Amino acid sequence: MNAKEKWIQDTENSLNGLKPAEVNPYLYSKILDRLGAKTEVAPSKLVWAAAASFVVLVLLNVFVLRTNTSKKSSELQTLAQQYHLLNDNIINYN
Amino acid sequence: MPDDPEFKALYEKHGAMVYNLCLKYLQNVEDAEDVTQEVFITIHNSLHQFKGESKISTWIYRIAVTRSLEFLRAKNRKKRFAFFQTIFSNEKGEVKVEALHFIHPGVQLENKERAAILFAAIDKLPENQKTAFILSKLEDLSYAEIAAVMKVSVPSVESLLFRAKQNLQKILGDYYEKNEK
Repeated sequence: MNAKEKWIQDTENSLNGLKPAEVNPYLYSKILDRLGAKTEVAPSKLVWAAAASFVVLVLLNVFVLRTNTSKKSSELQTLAQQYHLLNDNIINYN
Repeated sequence: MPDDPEFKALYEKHGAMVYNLCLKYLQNVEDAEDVTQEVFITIHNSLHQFKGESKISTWIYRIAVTRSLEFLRAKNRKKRFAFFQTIFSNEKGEVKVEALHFIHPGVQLENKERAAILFAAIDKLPENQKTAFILSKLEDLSYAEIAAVMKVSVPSVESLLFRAKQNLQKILGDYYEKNEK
């Protein structure tokens, strides 16, 4: 066996009798922390309920806006008629 | 519930084994701790899926090996990305220098230097050969146990170990020619 072969063999044997490394005593607490953080995610039922109520809220807003706009325009028309502001009644001075 | 006695017992029995296996793959204490956490989160979330077809230790070994290899792949991708960034960047950014050799805390004092060289050589092996070598030489698992963890046949394990040894001798031989001669 030449020097190179001996060196390789010695290097290959260098991990013989390797002792296990000590584990960080706080590792289990860290695992529990991460598991706890993950379990705090909202349940899917709650997510769907929130999404549905949001959709209902948007639809209600749209409905209220549309009825208010049509009501306002009819009120404006009545007011314009009372004060003779409609296009037909405006006197053209030109 | 994360803090149930069954899970705690599982950690107490296999925690050190998982951490030490991860340390041999990742050769970095912080990375090994991170991956050990990932392994136990996986165990916790999929314990109900364990059908008992293999030994629980085999199942845990398999999760630890898979997670370690995934972590190494992600780390290598980041390294490649950082490399390309330095090539295409005009700035002379600082290149993060990592420790060339990992010193395992359980190595005997007189073997520290050689063990670091061997760990660096193991790191260069292809994934399957690395797994077979670590499980056989550093974890003292039998060929049948390694075959069960890797989901391959026993002759495949023998072949992987043969090629791993050949590759290690080549890597170490090259190192000797460059540094020790």
